[in-house]
Amino acid sequence: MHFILFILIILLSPSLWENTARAEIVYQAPIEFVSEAFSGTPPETSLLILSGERRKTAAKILDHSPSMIRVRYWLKNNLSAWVLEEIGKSKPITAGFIIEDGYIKDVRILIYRESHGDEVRHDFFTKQFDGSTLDSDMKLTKTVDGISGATLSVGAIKRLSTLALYFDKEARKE
Amino acid sequence: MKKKTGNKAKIKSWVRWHRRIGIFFALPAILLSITGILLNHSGFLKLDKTYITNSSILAWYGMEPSSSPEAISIGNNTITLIENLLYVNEKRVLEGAKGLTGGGELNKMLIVSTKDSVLLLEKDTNNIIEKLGSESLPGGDIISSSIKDNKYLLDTTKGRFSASPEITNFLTNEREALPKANPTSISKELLETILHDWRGRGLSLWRIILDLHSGKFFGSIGTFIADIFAMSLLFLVATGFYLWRKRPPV
Repeated sequence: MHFILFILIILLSPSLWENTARAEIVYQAPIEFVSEAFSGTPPETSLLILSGERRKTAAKILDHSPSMIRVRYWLKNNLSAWVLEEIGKSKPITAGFIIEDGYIKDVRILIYRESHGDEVRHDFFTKQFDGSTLDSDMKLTKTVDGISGATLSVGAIKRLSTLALYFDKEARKE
Repeated sequence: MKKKTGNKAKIKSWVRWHRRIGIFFALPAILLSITGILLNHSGFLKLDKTYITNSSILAWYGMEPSSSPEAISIGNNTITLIENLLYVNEKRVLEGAKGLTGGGELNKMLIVSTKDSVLLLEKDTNNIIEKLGSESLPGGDIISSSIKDNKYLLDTTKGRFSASPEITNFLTNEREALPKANPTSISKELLETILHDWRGRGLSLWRIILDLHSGKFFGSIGTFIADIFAMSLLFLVATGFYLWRKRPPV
């Protein structure tokens, strides 16, 4: 009886059917994202310089100093598009953000490099950001529910969304 | 009477196995609980940002690059690529890089190109000014890039281009193809420094605790044993419930 139980335990062991880790996955090329954001006719590239107070605010949002000195963006009328990167667990996640009139219109995961947590690419997660803007404390106005097992990736996308909204605000001052 | 004795013997046997397995898995259960709690609070404890530098643990993980490092020289700088980590001298500047293709020095900038991106750095500090991905480049895989007549030139599989002075835009440029970047050798000291950083960067405390939790720390046999621990806990729950149901009336 106990021997049968032991064999059952071994056969049910998930390690016998486990998958190997995944490499980088490109869900959408960043260039296609920018083109799609402006219906195929993106405007000229603009540059936002991260220095002084702007750099300090960006560091506060990210919880670390930004890795770049300047950020590229595309702005046409009331719409701006941003392609930003942030490390989730150990590798950078590339995400695209479209901001319309200071509100998030679309969040998309473009390139995912971590082995776990890519559930953040799904619409059920990214749609939660739509219509969100920044409050006076530089926080997103909409609550975003996390995903079990993807906590660090969720945190990275929240930080990037906040940053994209802040950058959009700053870009319009230029 | 015979049936009662049989039942008693059966219950005794289950009690015996419940005890044996309970005692045997007490320590692993403590390990699983502690590592589980730590993993639950990994963000707060910054486990993912704490990197292991202990050489014994790094050696246990067999942390060696799967391919030989590539290197090119730009000015006085050695640009090295180990797997997907890019270094300017001993400073790690980019993760997720693919294949060195060239670069040069332009005004106060140090420019490094890989197969799919161009990295602009401050010449003095090697701080990143900007990383240009496919959305900012003229398209195609980068074959080679160089500085000529104070202009940054780029050859890709889609054509030959020259960049505006601030490297904001690229225009088609009718000219001869650029020569491919020449590989250079890396000094032993520099390679040691870079490899130490590469090994440390690749292994976070979060990963160690996760692997202890899942058993992977001890290789594939560890995962298998961890599964048996988990199954045994289920066994303890089931036998515990069974024995509670069969307990003699008080």
